[in-house]
Amino acid sequence: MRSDQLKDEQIKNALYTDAYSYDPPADLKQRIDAQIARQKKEVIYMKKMSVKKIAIVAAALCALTGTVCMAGGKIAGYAGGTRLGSQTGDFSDIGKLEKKLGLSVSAPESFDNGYAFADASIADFDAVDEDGIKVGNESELDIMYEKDGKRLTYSVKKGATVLSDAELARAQVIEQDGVTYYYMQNDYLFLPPDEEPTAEEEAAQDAGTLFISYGSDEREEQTFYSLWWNVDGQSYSLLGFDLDLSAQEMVDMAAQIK
Amino acid sequence: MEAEKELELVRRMKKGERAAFDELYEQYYDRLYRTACMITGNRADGEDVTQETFIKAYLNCDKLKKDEQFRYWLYRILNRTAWQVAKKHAKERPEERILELEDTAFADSPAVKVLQDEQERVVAEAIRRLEYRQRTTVILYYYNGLGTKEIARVMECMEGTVKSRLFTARKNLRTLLSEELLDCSSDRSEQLQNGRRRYAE
Repeated sequence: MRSDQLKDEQIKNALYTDAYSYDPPADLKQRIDAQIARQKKEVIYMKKMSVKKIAIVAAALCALTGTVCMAGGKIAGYAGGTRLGSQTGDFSDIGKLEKKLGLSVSAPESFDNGYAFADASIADFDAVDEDGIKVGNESELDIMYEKDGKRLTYSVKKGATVLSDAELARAQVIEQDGVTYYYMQNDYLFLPPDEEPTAEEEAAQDAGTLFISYGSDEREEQTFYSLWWNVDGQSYSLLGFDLDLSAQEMVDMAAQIK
Repeated sequence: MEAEKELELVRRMKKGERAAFDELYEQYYDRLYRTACMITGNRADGEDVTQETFIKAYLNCDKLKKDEQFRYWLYRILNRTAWQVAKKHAKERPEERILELEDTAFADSPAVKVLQDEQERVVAEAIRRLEYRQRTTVILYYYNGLGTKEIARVMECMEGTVKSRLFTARKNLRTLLSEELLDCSSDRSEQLQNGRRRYAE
């Protein structure tokens, strides 16, 4: 055997031996199936909604990244969508939606800055753990407002929203009329599933200044504005992309919710 | 698996048939998992990469243009995913990575007890120390049995680049390995092959 052949054989043998030292875990397929089930649900949901709305909901979900305990499991994320038949363009229907969820939202028909009611719906979410296994569920009432083509969501659900330390570090905290408001501006990059972020974008993500989300039809960069507060066991938020609203402007809107 | 049967499974999976995906998974998971572990150098990353590869393949199978090239498409997803992991780890302290590699390799498989050999351990360790693209090329060529043209398709580069990477990888391996290792006789090699055959039986 020539020395170069021997060398090739050595490499091959070494790789085969190395490969044999790694046995696939028995639950690998189960984990893949669980992740597919979760991501498929998100994809179906996304296909049903407009890009703007997808973006708002996706960002709202991404904002809730703090580890929360529910039904005995740690929640790593949420998946879900608009409850079938719940969407309405009639402001007077909001009372019925409130009743269904046992919530009190006190939504105005319009805000002083010109945002006016567009539609409302109930969204149901499954809370999933790190393996994509459902560990609980929750529902929220989402009310959309529009002004000059911009859409803002006013969202209410039962239970308090607890921001993670990382989120708190980025948030501007405002105390007004006995309520603590958390205002955030986050940059989002939405990518098609097969597109990779650039090195700069990955660095920004690592630094916590950019959130990269996959699943959109096209590449899209937007700034997500949000205001969060908790009152009487309910969590409230005002959310939207490229709203160009300052913290005080959003707090003034929140103050109109009585 | 016959090429024709695989083609049929791919077409069925693209129509949303889950059972077809399950069959393709059964066909590929073992080799893909071991490949991912060797490329990333550890079990945990190998699991993540394998998991991601199959999830991406299932959810994006409608984007596969040439159904007959499913195998290379799957390897391409694996390579891209592993590359992301490698880039992430490149930022970590190298000492930590080396400790992790020593910790996780050759751990618990009964096959290891039969096949473990000092010479192969040294070669495998040297392969792990190769730069990512050289290491992946070596693994795809020697373990997965892909030709240079096929590797070029998987790694999205020119065939000449693959040949050059193989040449450089071999050269670097020679530098990394001790003279003692290179002088090992073919007897050891045959012994190991016999051992592997016994294990397979």
